[in-house]
Amino acid sequence: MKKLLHLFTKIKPKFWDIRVSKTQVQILFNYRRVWLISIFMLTVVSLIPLSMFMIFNFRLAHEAIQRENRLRTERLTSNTRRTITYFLEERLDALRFIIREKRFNTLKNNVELIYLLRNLQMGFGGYIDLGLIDSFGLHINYAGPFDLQGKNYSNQKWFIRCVEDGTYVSDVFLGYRKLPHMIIALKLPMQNGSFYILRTTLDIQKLIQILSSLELSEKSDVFLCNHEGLVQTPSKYYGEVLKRVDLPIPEYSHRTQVIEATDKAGNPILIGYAYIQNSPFILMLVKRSEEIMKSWYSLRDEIIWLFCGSTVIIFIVILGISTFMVNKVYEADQTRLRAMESLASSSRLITVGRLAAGVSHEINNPLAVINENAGLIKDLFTLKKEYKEDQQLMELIDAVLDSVERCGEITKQLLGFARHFEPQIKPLQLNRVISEFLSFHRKEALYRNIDINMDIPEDIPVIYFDRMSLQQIFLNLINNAFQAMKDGGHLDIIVNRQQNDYISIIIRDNGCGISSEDQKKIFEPFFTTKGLKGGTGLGLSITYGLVRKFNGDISVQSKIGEGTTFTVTLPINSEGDFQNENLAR
Amino acid sequence: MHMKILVVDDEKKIADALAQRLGLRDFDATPVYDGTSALSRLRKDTFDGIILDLRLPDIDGIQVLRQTMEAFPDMRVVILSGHGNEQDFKICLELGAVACFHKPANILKLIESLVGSSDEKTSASLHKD
Repeated sequence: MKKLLHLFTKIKPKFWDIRVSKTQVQILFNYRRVWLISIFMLTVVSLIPLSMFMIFNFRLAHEAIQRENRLRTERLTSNTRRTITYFLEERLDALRFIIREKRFNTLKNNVELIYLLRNLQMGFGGYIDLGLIDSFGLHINYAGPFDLQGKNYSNQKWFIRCVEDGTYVSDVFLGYRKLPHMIIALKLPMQNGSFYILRTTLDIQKLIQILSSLELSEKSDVFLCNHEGLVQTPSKYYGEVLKRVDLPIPEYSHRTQVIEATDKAGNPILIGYAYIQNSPFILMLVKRSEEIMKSWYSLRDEIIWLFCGSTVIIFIVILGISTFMVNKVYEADQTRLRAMESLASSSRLITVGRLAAGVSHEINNPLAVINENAGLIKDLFTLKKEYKEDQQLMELIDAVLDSVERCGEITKQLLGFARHFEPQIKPLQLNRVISEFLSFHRKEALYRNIDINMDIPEDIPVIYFDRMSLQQIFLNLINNAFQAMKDGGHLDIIVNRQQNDYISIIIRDNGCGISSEDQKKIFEPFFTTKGLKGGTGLGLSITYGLVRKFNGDISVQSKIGEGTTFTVTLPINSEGDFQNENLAR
Repeated sequence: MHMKILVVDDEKKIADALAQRLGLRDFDATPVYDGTSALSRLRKDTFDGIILDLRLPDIDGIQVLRQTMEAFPDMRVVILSGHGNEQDFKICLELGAVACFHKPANILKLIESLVGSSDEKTSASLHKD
């Protein structure tokens, strides 16, 4: 939690804590609002097309995969249907061949029939028996494992149907041996208007083989059922043989169809089906949707991940850009504000200075009148003996003169105050001036046991500089040094002469030091490490401004824990460089 | 011997009172109230010293000082101004004034500057206080 908080303070935009208050009318923007709007707008315009594209793509892929699956199912169903139709046709054709090849008399011969059955079993396989039935439904000849000769079929369904249609393919049913099998029958009309029927029983093992040879996935199923919905060949999931299928019976269609449905357990499934012509069979191919859509699911996951990933990246970029831009605006605003503030304060001070100068000048003359007149009265009284002895009178006059003197002092100070705003280049003896400046800190140094070491060589020339500016430059640096040092610290002040009529003043402390990151910023206005405890962040920026104003330079070297060294380089004669502006006359 | 002093101030009350006070201290003081009459009095009479205001109704006090110093290089001129700033005082001292004072000034200090010692002229200094 603490780490998270730390991270937030690191990435928190600079303007975050700025609140628009009534006292800060100059703040033009609610930065947070601008920032949020920017993020919102950028997010909307970039993510809406992206998500639309994604949804579109999503659907397209979904539909394509679904269509592909349907097509595949349809194709497989269709092929299987053809195989089964062909299988049944083949069986019928074999019978057809026999009927045309062999005469009725030959077929009536039991030995011939047994011979034919053996040939069929060897040539095609799957034939169980072979029987000849006359037009009355009587089993007149039979070859096979059961004793069916002489049985009458005249009122049985298959017989009636075969008489009507000419051929018959039965459902699968359990015979005497309790093995599922089916019959097919073929009617052969005779020239005399009568007819007979060739009937054979088929083992359905061959059919089952055809279906099981399909390469299907684990959860898929293929089987036959009849029009009533009874399962005809073994099904893995949808019911036992000759029991009702667990699925709805699809509508009749002469073509292969694919429909979507749900199974008993509620799983969505895809059913490919085909009504097999000239037979009671419906071919059913059932696939579980979830399985056939597996490839879709993995694709979908990929799309979703891609979308989430790009969304996150886009959002981070947007966040970064917005923060950067608003920070820039904020910084620009701050710079502008500072410029305005300093302009306002300096113009305010100039006004005050002018006013003070004006008032002082105007008051000085009446003060002089009072002074001279009171002085004259005093002079006159002093000459006359009767008044000279009068103590009270003399005291009164002296009181007037004292007051005049005090007023004079005040006006003089006011004039001095006004003059502070115009730099006055004067010759300054550096060692004397620096000692004077240090006098402000003598007591604190004594109290905190701070050792101040001044090294100012004799040959340092008199410099021409504005005393007030120099004082300000110095006091800011020395103040900072004092604040950085612990009790018992060590402060060096070293002055060196440089070439080209410059001198350098080095102020070195062994205090806490400044991080290299902060070193870049210390001359910026309002940068402070003193937190809320009272640093205005202006000291060093004022120092910097003053040094630059007089064509000097200032640099800093510092190491955390070892101390800080400020080097100020100043021209020996700043008069030529600096234009004296007389502000308060 | 009495020193002859010319007191130049546009404020009549100041000039008169100052002249009278100097008179009480054994000076022969004459008050005038503008630059022109000051210069004409200087031409008619011989004076030992001048107390000169810088702001005069007709001619600028610095101008008066300049002309006086040209005509009488040895004249002891003390500037007494309610308006003068450091720059003006600096110019006056360069022109040859012996001392500069802000109004209101102590009469004893004025006299001290007027009388002066023999070498004071060479080391003219700015009286700030």
